[in-house]
Amino acid sequence: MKKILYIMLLMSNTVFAQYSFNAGNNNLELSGLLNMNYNNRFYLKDHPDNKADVFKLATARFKIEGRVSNDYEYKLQLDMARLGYSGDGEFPALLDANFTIKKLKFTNITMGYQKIPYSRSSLTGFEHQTMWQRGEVARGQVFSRRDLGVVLSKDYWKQRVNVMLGAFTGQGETIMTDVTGGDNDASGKLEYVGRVELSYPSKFKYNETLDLNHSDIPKISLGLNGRYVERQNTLQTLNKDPYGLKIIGGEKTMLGMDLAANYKGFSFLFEAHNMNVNPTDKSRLQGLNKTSFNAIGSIIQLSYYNRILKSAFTARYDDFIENDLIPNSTMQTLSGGYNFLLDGYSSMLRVQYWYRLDRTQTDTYDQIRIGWQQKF
Amino acid sequence: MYINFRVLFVTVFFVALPFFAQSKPKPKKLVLLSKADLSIKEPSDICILPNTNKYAIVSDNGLLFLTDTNGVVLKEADFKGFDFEGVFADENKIYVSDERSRIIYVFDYNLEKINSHQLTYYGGRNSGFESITFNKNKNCFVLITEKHPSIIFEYDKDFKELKQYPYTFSSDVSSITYHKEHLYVLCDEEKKILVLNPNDYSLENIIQLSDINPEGIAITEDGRILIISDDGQYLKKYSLDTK
Repeated sequence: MKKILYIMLLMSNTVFAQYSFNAGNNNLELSGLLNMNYNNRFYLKDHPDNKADVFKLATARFKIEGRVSNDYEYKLQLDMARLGYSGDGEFPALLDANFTIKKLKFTNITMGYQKIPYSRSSLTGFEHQTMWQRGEVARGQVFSRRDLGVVLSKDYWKQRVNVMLGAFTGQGETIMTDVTGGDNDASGKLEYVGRVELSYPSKFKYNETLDLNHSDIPKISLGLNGRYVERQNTLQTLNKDPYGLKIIGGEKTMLGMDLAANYKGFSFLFEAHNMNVNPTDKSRLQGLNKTSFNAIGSIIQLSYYNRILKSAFTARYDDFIENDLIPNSTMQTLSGGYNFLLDGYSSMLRVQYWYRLDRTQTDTYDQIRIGWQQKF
Repeated sequence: MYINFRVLFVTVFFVALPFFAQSKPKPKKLVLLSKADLSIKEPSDICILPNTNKYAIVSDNGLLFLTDTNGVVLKEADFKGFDFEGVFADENKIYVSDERSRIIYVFDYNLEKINSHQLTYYGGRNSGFESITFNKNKNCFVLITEKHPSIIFEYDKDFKELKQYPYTFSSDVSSITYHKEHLYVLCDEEKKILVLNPNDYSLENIIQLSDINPEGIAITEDGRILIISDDGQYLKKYSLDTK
């Protein structure tokens, strides 16, 4: 144990998180993110045991980011782990392939395959998450987190206000896979997304998941976002869209808010989302005299970072109702998390324990996941 | 459950604790004298132009400004860099560290670019040199990389590298200044000023700050400490609480 700690200490003083190269006004940076974990699931009933006890390579990401002067930026990110696991073809290994034009005074324009500006939890990178998994509503099972499209963005008032407006295919991550073959829905319509953030007393970056600096002054950020799409066809993939909501046929309006705060080592996050769907498939209305149903979810998370122990402790409650017309369909989960930040987020132990509060659901389970994150 | 996690956690805490609980000098505190909002967006460092009543302030957007002692902009350099993060001035020149391009630009007091020096450092583009000063005790420039890892680099007056030293006193370094036989290192993340011995770079003292995102430090002849906040976009003047 002591040897391991000495090695860890040595690593903390020598780790390089990225490498960069310069040529005139061109600046290129290479970086990577490795995450490996051990997962243990505790099933309620007899269940295929394929995920009960297993080591998993959660990420094997390689990222190239560049800048040309301060006028253009570009980003290309691949997750090699997904190359291995994407046999179902639902999720692309590509995470980012986009470029931003920054030289226009009135707006920045980001084009390409990118994160959709919706939900603070979703927009916070995996490397800055205290838990292995985001809350159910924001982890990519309910709404698409990435898509191909265009985002206009602009900040105001010393970067305390951020406004983002985007148009996407509406096909989500499947736009980069054989599931769609890169084609749009038969309606030919796009998904429109908007997000406004107000932070005080200064900008509040997504990567400030933990209050590592123990802010003496409370920092707060309020995000309001919405998205709208009208589609002809439903496109449900098996593993990444278990609720059939991400690419559902019909008219879908989603509204959400998030509130984040940091103060004296404590970090708080609250998110609430409501998706209203007027589906083309009327069976989703459960035979009731309704024109639409709602999918509702929320996340409440509190963390504390202890600088002496280099440790973060997190508690989270999250819930999700996939269809408010179905009685007793609330999924509720309590999660406890622990992180040991050997070298900030660059070299970090991550532990998460899930405890399902809705014990009546036969296919749910508790689980624990423990593993290490290394950036390079 | 197959693993007793209570035992695992307790073990990790108690075994790790002695390694990370370092004994450091008790932090001193500052007394706020004044605060001025800046019109400069994303200010990242400040220095005092000797024998003048002027400051040089640089910004993340690759801009260099000349200001009065209240931070009011008097002049802006025509030359625009990439990501200016560190600034130092001697009796007739201003030296600016462009973090991303690893270039030291040299300006005269009229903010005309007169020279540049390309440094070599392959760390993260946003983890380069945010700090630059001149160490009079050793007659060399001192630059420290921001993080991952932080390394003290010494350069001669032509910016030829002389020596490197490991730096382990804080998680990041956002600015450095020399004042009366001491080096003052500003740490943005830990909101501290670390006072180092300029001969061997050992830690002598700690001064606690409460500013959000402090990115620049300079010290006047009479010992007033100037702090620039990037996110806060302001300039504060402090005196050291001697109680």
